[in-house]
Amino acid sequence: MRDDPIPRFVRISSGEFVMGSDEGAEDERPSHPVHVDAFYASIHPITVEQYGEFAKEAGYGVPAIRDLPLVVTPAQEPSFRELATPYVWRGGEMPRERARHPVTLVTHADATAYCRWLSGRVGRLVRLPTEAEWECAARGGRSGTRYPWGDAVDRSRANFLPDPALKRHRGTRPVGCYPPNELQLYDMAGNVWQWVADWYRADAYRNGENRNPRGPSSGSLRVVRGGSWVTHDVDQLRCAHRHKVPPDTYAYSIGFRVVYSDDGSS
Amino acid sequence: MPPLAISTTTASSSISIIDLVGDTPLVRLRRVGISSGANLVGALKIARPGSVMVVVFCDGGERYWSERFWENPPEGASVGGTN
Repeated sequence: MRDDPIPRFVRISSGEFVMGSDEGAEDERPSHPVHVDAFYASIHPITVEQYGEFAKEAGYGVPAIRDLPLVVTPAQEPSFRELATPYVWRGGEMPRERARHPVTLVTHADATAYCRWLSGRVGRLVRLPTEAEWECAARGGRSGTRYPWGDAVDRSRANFLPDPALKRHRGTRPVGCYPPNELQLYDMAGNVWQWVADWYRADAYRNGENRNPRGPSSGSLRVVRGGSWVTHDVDQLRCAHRHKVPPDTYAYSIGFRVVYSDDGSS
Repeated sequence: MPPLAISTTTASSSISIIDLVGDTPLVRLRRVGISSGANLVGALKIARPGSVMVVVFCDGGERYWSERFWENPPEGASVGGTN
């Protein structure tokens, strides 16, 4: 089935939720109430096919192995190249068998370029979610649970890697394979890490805004959220977990979803 | 590593002298190219107390500034976990 080139969105109502966790890493503390205005979130991460529409129309570079990301150490290079190979677009063409998988091998800049293009297509300011919007969406109205579905690890709810020995036999899966959360959002844990708009700062929650926080104004690391198919530390699948990488990082485990603000128009 | 002095006289390299006491450079080198670095490492490996070594720094490192091997992941990056 061909995917709609324009993502489907679901409305997330304005409201307050508890962001962070007092049981997690230091940078998740303190848990604190945050208000986010209503917004629309794409129901799943942007797919290979959706990204392909953008790359073709905008003449934008397609996912490839370029300079190695800084998070890949020399010892990891052979493994990275091998695992990345199935995700590379050959001759400018998407890997057809992955059309409905989340797009990967995209940097933060690639994700924002997609947002700019989609903004023009739909006539709205499409953007990456803020970290607060992402966590609000992941929690899906549940209060304080570890994962988008509850507190217990559940292999039937997310694409992650319980057994690291099987890494070479696993990979991304088509979006929508796992049950959505209560807001009908898919892949809010696992499958691919998702770029968000915020710069990372460990103490962001101690000094941050409580109303529509947008994070630090600058930094050297960007936040990715949600865990991915390579995640075997289930702690990283938690709604509150904050992963952070240089913005020009790309990997077979990092993709993105997009949002736009609810400005009251239909 | 013995105390060691290394000098170059080529104006273009603008590297004059570094003194090494133990492994601690008293004057830090400016960036040099890859082959210059290899020359220095080789000299340090074969140096013996009292020896005089001449090391040629073939060029500066400017042409390599766009390369990423100068860089390390910024402190705090989640190295691993995504690959």
